[in-house]
Amino acid sequence: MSFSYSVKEMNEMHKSALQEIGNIGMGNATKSLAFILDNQLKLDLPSVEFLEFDKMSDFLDGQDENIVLSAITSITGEINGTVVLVIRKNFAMRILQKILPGDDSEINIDDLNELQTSALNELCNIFIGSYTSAVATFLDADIKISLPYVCIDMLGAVLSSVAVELFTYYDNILVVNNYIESEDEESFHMFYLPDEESYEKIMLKLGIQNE
Amino acid sequence: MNNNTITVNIADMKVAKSADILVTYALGSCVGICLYDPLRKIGALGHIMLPVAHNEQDAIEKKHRFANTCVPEMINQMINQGCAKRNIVAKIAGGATMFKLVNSQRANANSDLNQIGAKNIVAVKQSLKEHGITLLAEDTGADYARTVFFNTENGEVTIKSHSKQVKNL
Repeated sequence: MSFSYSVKEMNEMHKSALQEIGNIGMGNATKSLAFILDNQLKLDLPSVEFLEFDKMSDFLDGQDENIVLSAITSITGEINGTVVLVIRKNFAMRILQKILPGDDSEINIDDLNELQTSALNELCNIFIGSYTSAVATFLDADIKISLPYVCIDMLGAVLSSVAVELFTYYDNILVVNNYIESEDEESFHMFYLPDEESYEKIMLKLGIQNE
Repeated sequence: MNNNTITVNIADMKVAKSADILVTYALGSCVGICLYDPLRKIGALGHIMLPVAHNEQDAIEKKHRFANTCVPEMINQMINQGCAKRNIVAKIAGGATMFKLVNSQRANANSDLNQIGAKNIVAVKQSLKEHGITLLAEDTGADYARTVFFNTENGEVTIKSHSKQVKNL
């Protein structure tokens, strides 16, 4: 492996390349979000972090039990990887209320009706779809996006369950973490996890040479 | 109440004495293993992520991550603290299938994404059996996350989950 997949050994150019990919995907996903929310949310430029799932407990930082809406999709084809969407419960409910006009009743995330469930699934489709399609276009990569898996539960359980799928094959997982956060416990995260082989391909596609 | 609460992280394991409370948060497909010696009132809680270590190095360096390496390590540490192996009993929780496929009739439902939890449960039970540890109770499988509180004073295990009733094992 000529490219280092380890965050510690990654050089600045490789980092910025991944950040750029994350920003392009997130930019497109938040465009859909802003449209739905009618610009009620201030959208800052997304931040990007690099995380190793080995340090997942530090990352969770006591937020393990927060309830979130999460969706996961795998990307296959020229490049492979995983995209994970995580929206804090309150925010997910606000978005849902926005796209279900006339539904004035307080939406209870623990007891969603059929329409609300299907609307939530569709939201996950839209956000993940707009993220991944922007990434694919940018990389000029021929990829397939699987239908998302969806879950509403504790953040810690969601993230660890995603991580184990990948830990089966890899020890360190590179995570490009784009997010927007506001007061009132509202947050919206998009994680892109390129796999080790694809990481090298991405760099070559962007014309970044290894020194 | 002057008992300590000790947090066990993901892929982590801790041993504690009465009347400490061991807690591990948000088990998804992971499994929480509670081993208890009721005579010495010593308990161990392990939070494993995967069924089996694939190579020697992982088995040594990351023993708390895997069912087949975490269980013997828990037993050894309890023995080091004066427990007798024949007195140790087990309760387990977790191994859920967290994610549901949207519109599953349209897709190939036979995905790996949904199998780790079940594999973890099997591996933990297998490992307990190999070491002759009796499994007293379990709250495993299904599709929701669990937080486990393990009281080393009486061996009671309390399961807290989102939108479900608190359960005692």
